[in-house]
Amino acid sequence: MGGVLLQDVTKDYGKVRAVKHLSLDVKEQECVVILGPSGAGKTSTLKMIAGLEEVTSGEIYIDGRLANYLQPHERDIAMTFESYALYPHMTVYDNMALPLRSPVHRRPEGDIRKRVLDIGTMLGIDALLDRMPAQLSQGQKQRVGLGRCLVRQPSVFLFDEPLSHVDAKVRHRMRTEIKRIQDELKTTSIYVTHDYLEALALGDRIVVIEQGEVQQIGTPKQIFDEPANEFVQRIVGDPPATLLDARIAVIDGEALLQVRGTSCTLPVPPDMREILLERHNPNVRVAIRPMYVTASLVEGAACQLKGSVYVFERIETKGVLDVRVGEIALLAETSPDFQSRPDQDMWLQVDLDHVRFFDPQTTAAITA
Amino acid sequence: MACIVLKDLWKKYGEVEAVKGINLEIEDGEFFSFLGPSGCGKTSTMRMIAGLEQITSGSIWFDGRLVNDVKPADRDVAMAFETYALYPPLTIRQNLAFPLQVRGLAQKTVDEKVKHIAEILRLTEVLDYLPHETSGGHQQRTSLGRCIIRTPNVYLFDEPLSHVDSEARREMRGEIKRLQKTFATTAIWVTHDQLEAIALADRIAVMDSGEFQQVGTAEEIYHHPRNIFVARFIGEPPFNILDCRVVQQDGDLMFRVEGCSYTIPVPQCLREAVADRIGELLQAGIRAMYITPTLTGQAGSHIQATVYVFEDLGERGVLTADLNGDLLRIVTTPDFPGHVGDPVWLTLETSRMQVFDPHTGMNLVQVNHGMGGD
Repeated sequence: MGGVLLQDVTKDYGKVRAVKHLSLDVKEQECVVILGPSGAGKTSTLKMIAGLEEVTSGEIYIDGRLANYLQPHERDIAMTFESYALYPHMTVYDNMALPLRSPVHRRPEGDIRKRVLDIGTMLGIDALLDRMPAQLSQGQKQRVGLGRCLVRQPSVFLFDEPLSHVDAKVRHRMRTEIKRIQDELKTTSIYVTHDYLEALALGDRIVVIEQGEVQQIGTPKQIFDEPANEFVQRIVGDPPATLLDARIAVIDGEALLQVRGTSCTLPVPPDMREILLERHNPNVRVAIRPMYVTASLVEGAACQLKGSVYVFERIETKGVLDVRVGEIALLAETSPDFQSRPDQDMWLQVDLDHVRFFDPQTTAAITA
Repeated sequence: MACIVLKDLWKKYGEVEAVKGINLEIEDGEFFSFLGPSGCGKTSTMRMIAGLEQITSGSIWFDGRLVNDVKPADRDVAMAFETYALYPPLTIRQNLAFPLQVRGLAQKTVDEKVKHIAEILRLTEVLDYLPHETSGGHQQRTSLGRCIIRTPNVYLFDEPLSHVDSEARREMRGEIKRLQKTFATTAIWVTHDQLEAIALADRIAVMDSGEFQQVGTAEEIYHHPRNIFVARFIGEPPFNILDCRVVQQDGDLMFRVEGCSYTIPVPQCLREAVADRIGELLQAGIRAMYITPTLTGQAGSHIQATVYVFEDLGERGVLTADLNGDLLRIVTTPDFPGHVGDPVWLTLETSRMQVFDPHTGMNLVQVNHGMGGD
């Protein structure tokens, strides 16, 4: 096993720069998730690591070895694809043994048997080795697909959106299985996805990329709670945070946020007062996650905003209320059976401890 | 606006029975959803309501009027499909205006309505493009816009947001719901996505194999699934099901989990249903949010399992617990401190349990929510 180091890696397709000066240090046994929308450059990055695409500039090291000029099969990596691509006419055992029988990795049959049994036991599929793929559940097929990669004991696993076309029900179960397998094997992994839930669930660290550029590298907690810019703030959370334009004004010594498009003000959180006033720019962007907004049909002492119901949606175990305050729309999380009518008056309370601030020009986070 | 009644409606394609004698009453102004996996008969049902598909037998009524032989155009329905069916030589603007122009509305009114719908569906920037010059998402929204631009007897939507990206999908969904609630036009929404059905509909018909598995509000379907199919089809993380036997222990009725020694007291609400099933194998189920895990507990008072996986998803956590080989999904706070292999003690909110007959798949407690003649 080993780590993967990317130094200032760039990928051009003709005039299009798909990956821009990407540097990333994936440590041994670590699982790093590359998260971004389609076209962000995540799959290009993975293909360069796998050796399926040439690097335009920069260096890639696998297990401490410069890999730029190595053939894919010399890199000691295994890549799993979205489909498991098991051979339907071969047993689970033969599917798993296949990589060890290939001309490149040829091993004696006795060694192969031992290896397949070891990996099969580890993955909990040792009882299924004589079955055909058609007799397996989706989760079992996923394990066999992984097992086939693992028999080679690669240094690094690469996952390219392995769950993107699986239906929602199965996806959840497979995500759980992959997480569990990673925990058991501790093989260095790089996992590409556009699904923030997969990223939060699976990554030791997450790299958020957009238009070929790194937006933030951090633990799932940092990405969720301390996004470095507006893009990262918006990519995690469903529904995403509401972003508002506001102006900071000091009235009678009290620092207030005047929310544009409304006549409302919110107090500036005390720990943010100094840094926001020192910027000498009264304009800020304010991000508020729906989970930190409480809606109420009656005016309470702690309510800061008054608006009217635009629409209510039940989403599984919660409700999401879209409230229009002046010209802005603010989302509040409620109980799933929250009773409301369109255009009904609604009072909102924002938990100011969880409000995030961004610079309107650079979109970078402003933090205390 | 119309109330729609389906009576013993059948659709056969040769030998294949796509829709098997369904009965339903959709109220005037109701937002109704047909929800089910592909091939369940939901689209065939909607196409029969639209008049695009011949009825094999049975009848369809709009406001008390039999419409079996009424042409689609005369039923006054507006439809939006997964496929866009836009007029290729017309701009997005002309496509949107079309349903109004054929009805002879004044140009000024048409322009105003097009402007309004384009704003709602975020099409303003592409109004003067031809369909092929815009993205699939734009085309689908145009198709949707052409449907909602006028007020028909009934809106029929067949997966109209499937090609729209997830954030825009949420916004469009909100706008459609708002529009429907504002004008109180009867609407039928066909989807395989339970999230969409739950978010939009006043009532949902869960379909499988050409039959209604359950008709009810989101609340009813979520908390009281009529059978195991519905229980499993609705909910994320999925519904937990354990094989159990009802036993008597010190005079109390208990569920004994098959394959281990754990017992769970039978809650008051289920006693009557299981009283004559002592010793029988049953399937007991509970939703992921009604199990509380703790890392400290005592054998005897809780069910002991081990942490299979814990996932911190930011807004919440999902714990998968291994109970003798059965995996249970549990919703927790995002900071639940369990690690793989840790022992974990589970408390079930037993009043939330459902019990099913393993042979018929039916919930042992049947609540009549008005299955429309069923």
